[in-house]
Amino acid sequence: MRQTHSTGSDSSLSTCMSSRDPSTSPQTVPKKRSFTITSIENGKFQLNFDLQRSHNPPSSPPPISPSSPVPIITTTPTPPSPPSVTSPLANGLIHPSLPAFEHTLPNGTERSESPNEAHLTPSRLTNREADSCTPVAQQNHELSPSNPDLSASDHDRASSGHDTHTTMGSSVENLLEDSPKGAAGKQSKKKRWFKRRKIKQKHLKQQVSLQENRPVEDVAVKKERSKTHDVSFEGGDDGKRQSLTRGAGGNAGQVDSVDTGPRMNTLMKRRSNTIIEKYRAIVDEQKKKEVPRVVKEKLESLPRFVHVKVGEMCAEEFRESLFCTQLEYKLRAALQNVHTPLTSDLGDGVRGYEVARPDLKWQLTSLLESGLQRSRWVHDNMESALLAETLNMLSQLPDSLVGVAVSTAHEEHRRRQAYADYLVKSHMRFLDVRLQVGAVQTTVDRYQDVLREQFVQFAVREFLDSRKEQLEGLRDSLVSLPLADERCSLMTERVEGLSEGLMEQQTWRDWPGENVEMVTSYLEDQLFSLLYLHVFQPNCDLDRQRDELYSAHLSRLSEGLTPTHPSLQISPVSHIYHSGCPWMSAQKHLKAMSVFKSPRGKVRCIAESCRVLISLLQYAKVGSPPGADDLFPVLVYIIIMANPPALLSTTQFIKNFLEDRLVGEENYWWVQFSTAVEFTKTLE
Amino acid sequence: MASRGGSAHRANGSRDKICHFKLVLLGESGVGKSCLVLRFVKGEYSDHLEATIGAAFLTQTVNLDDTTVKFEIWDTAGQERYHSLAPMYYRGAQAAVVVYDISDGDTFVRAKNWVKELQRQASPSIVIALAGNKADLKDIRKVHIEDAQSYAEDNGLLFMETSAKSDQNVQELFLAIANKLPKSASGSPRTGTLEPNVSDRMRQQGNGGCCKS
Repeated sequence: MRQTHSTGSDSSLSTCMSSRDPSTSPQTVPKKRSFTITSIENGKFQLNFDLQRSHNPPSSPPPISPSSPVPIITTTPTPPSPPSVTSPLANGLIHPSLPAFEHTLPNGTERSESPNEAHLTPSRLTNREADSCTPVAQQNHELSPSNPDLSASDHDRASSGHDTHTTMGSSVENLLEDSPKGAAGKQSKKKRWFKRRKIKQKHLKQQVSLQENRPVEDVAVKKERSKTHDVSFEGGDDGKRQSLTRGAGGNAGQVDSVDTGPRMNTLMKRRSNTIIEKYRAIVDEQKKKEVPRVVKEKLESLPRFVHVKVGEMCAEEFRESLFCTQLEYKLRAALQNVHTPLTSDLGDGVRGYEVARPDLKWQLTSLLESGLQRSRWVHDNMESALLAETLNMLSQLPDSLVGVAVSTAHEEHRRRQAYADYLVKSHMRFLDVRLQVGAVQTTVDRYQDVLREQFVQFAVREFLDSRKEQLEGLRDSLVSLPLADERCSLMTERVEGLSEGLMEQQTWRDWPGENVEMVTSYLEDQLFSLLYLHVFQPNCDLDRQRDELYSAHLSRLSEGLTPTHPSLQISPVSHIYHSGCPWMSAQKHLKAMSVFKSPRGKVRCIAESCRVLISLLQYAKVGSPPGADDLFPVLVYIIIMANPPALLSTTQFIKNFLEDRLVGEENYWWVQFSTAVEFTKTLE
Repeated sequence: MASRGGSAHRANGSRDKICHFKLVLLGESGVGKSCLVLRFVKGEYSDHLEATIGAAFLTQTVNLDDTTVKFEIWDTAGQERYHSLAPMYYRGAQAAVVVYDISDGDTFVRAKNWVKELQRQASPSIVIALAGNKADLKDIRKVHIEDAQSYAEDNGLLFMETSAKSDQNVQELFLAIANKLPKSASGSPRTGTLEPNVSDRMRQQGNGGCCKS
């Protein structure tokens, strides 16, 4: 059973119907009817018509011809028809199967049809049945001599590649064979059909016509249409043509029968009988297929209290019931916040619902009851209500059906697992993105820091320029002082004085408190840079000599130094750290110390070197973080290997000007470093 | 260098009852000093650690009834050949944890030496705790708990047998130290001029595990 959908962008049709079409039923009560079809095809025409037949007397059926099928389908008392019904009409490719119904109509001359057909009156057609008409219509269309018409006058439409047309091929042949006349009568029918078509076209020029189902593309007709907003359909049956004319203003419909002779009637009757049988067979088949849906629909339409008798249901019935659906939904909702047995043992045990587990209901009930107690305890009234309701429903259920409900819920849960997985994945992606954003944020923060630093440096330089004389005085004093201690204390004193002077400036008044240290430390850096020569090696030649001696000592040590040296014994047993030897990136930071002229800059280098070192050790020692036991010998090793210039003066410089003020981690690294330097002095 | 209002504010924060204490870990190499401190700070045992960078310097905050104690925990190299350098580490420390391995008698002997040295050379007010680590290895115990207990009592030490692996007495040990430390002295190490930029960077990298709890 196929249903065709209008997928072409060139057509759309909306049908609004209210009430039954009077033309289809003899018992029609006069009513106001509106019938609107809007069809836009290739932008060529738009068709609207309203039907208002308030004056139709019930005693006199409307003069609709027996073969005017359109109203039969389109005016079934259903709400707006689904596109599957309407769009084929709009496309004009499918002829409604209306010949089948035509003869059931109370047309005076044509009422002698089989009484069985009465049940097919439109008033009894359900929506689904109307749907099922469509394929019949298709078949009918293929049977009809309008096929040549399709290739002749409507070729543009046929070549639009509508799938319904092409896929009907096989059934067309079968049906052709079934047709009363068969292929032999085709030729003569064609002739007759063309003859009638000519007459019809003539007719069309004179009046606004509605032909069955197929808009004709003749230029003349199109012109007419554009003026009068009419729909023109072709008759789908046996070349029989009807024009159903509607007034544009929605007046009473008129149906003109063209060319209806007794011979045709007989032919038509036979043909329509065949078609009706086919239609019935199709409808029956569809009905059989749709049994579960029907059951469900019926149940849904029933009032709720009916389901109290759920205990009488068999498993299949129960599974399809609304009660089961609701219970399943509630179970999932109620159990989503607990460790759900549905996802573990409970669900696995009842996957086949025929397996009745006697303890299942008890388990589920106790689980829900504990949840209920909990939700009451935390005053979660909504959850309490849900749990109570679930328990109530569960209590109505016989043991045999609990398994069904649980397995249904389990199945539902399993079906939703993919979405849950998707959510988990999305969440992970979100976390990943957040991590990346954090990294970007760090980079951006660094930009901010750099800008601030630049500003501070600039301002501090400006300040020092303004105190040039003071600085020169300080330099002279430092040079004149012979002793290192005196130099250091003078330097410390002056640096403090200058930084106090700096902070009194207007610039720094609103400077945030936490950045004050930054300002003073930059001042310090600048001062030490300016006076480095006088304070770094205060004992001048003596210090330089000492540094050279020490450096020579280190270079002597470094010759042939291995991590397994008895004084180092870097991971003597496992050798895990040896792969990282000689830890160049850590050495690099130590060597960079001489570039920085302030004690703080040098300590920064030391701390950075130690941090790099311990992270390198971390990556070597899988699973266990390295401690000082691991770090210290390696630190000694890299100090010897790096052999930073003027190392003793550097340590002394830091001790003189910064050590007392170091805190926290930097202080720790500094102590480690200075201890390691002390240790290298003892090495031979 | 004048430590201006800003720095003091930073060091002590708005909550005025934060005490900073320097705590050194002493003990023979391999007794589990790093694991003990990691268990205390991160609540994890090193077997499962992947990303912790180093356990050499860590900080941890302990909340007491009326004060918050922030420990700066200094790990030290425990090898015998570095013993002479130890004073540089415990200089200025308010607390020391001397760790030995209950399954290794030699480490207990060394621990006693550490204690002796601390009592002789460290600050007189230093709080010393003796920790018999690896208490989960009771089956191969070499140091009897009674011996250690009596030694600790004789020398006025805090004593606990701990296990970083099974998280036994770890928090308790540090809590006991925090309680015993004199809060009035507020062993706050020199507050002052730690450059904010550097400290900020340190915090971001988290290398030292600057824990802010």
